[in-house]
Amino acid sequence: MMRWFAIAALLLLAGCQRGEVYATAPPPPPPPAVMLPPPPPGPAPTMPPPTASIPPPAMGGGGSPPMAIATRIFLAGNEPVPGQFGAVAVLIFPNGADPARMQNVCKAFVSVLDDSGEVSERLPDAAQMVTIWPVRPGSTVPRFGVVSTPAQADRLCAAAVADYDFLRARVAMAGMPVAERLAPATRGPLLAAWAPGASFGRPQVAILRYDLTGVSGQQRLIDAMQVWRDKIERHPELWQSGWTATKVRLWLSTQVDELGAQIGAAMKLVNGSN
Amino acid sequence: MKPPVWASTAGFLIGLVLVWWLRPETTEGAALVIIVCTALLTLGGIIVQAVRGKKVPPATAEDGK
Repeated sequence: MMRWFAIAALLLLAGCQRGEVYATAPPPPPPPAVMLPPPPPGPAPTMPPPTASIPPPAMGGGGSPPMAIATRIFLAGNEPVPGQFGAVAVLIFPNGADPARMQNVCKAFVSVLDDSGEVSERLPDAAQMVTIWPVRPGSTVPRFGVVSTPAQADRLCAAAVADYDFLRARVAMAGMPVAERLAPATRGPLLAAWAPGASFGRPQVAILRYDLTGVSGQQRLIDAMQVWRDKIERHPELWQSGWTATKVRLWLSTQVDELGAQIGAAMKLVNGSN
Repeated sequence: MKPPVWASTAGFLIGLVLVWWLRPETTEGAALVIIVCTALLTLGGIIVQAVRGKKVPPATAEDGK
């Protein structure tokens, strides 16, 4: 019996150590796997050169440019989508979404995705897959802007959450097939992408989607946003095949935490009533 | 019925591995994973033991010799 306990203790120790390493130093994402068009003349780009060339993914657009860089933009409801992006995505929250959850998603959004304005200075728009956080017309939220500190992210996200444009989100969702839309009474958000960018919002176009409803917790939302950035945008064929181990882990982990919290709350309630 | 120790231990170990893989953010979540795994494997062990017990032929006088 002692032998079993020794094995269990060793496993627990190994698990904790692996978890700490993962939490503090996640492995760096691989370099872009698609061939980018040559950058415009100007300051030398700091991005590493592409290491491989694969044909652009077939996404129903017919001759769509290859996608490489995942970027973000805060776009007011009355502004058209600028540029000729390789793909355009929208972060869709349902009406009445929880502001605290929106704030967490926003922090993951700004910390994982690159600023579109900064990338546009170095690369053509066609090399970008831009994800839009829609804000109401007249909002003071800047369209572009590099966020370098947590305090900056907090301030930016507070404004972005307060000014979130639910109408534009609904319009974007209306452009999707019914089966691909966010299910009723779910908390979202849903990430939906159209490629090429010119086909944004049009029906009868292939759409990439990632429903983050089952993911909560700041670190898990960041992980999920990295899934969106690294695996899905660069390898859409993986995305369209259904699920990945990372997505399953994030979903299961969230469910376990939420169920555990509910049981804990119920036990406290029972103890408190006695 | 005495619960099989090997099943409880296996359930506990599987729970630990799952906790490592899932990395729940709360103690309640981690405890839930371990408790559910241990309980399920223990139940499975009890069922297996009961089924095997039924299949064992009754001891005869020759077995005792």
